[in-house]
Amino acid sequence: MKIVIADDSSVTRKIIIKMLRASGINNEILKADNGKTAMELVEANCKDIGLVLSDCNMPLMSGIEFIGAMAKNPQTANIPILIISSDGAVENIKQAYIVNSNVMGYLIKPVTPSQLKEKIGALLD
Amino acid sequence: MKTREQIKQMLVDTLMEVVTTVFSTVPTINEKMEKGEFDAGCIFAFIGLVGNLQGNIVVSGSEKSASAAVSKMLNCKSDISQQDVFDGMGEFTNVLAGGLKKKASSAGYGFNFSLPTVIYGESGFKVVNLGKMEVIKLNVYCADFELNLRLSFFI
Ligand SMILES: [Mg+2]
Repeated sequence: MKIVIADDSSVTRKIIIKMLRASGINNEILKADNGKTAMELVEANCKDIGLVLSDCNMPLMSGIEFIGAMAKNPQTANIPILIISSDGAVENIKQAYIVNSNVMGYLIKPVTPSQLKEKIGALLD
Repeated sequence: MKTREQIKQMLVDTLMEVVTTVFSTVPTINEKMEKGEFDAGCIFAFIGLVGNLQGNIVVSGSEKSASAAVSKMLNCKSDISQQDVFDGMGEFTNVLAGGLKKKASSAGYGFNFSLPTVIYGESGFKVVNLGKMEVIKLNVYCADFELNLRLSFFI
């Protein structure tokens, strides 16, 4: 199963990929730098995607809008999502869980390798 | 009613948490008390804040410091691209804004913040705030680099 990483920061995408590889997660990774591209990727590959890791603050379409759009499309509505965002305000966290019931966790940046490993390990099991 | 001291404490706490995790190092944080709006440096990452805390947050550093900081973020010993340095400075500022938002929201000063803009200029810069704003300037020293943080906000 493929993993989608949606984050507008290329440095953050690199850090997340390093952490995944160091945890022994070698799944193919699809990258997007905004919510719109991420939605296009998820729709085009919906049968192969096992997990979406999404940022919130992104240009063109925010992470919340992106996962909201995923929930509205029956082909992408059941894909598990892990949010990795700098926005740790309670309202934003609540919003993520409201717009998509497949949000399995919300990690606040900066994320440590052990936090990511713990969350993703449980989701990919 | 928010006070400068309260916001400063939130900012220092956020900076300590973020730097410790992002750079795997414990920084020395000092408030810069000198007057003057001019900050030397070369790479500046800017984020605007709107809501119950209105203003902006700017992180700046020399190209050498910014490069060392982002290399540390990436845990990468070899040279990194200038594009990664710009991106990393923007993302570091974004994470600081998010951390400050969490603390400020809990205290009743929720705000939203823009995407980062990175400005590159060799001869330094001057932040001109339009309106009477409080300014908190912090110096962040780590073993390999030094960054400056400036938060401007309306009380
Ligand atoms: Mg982002």
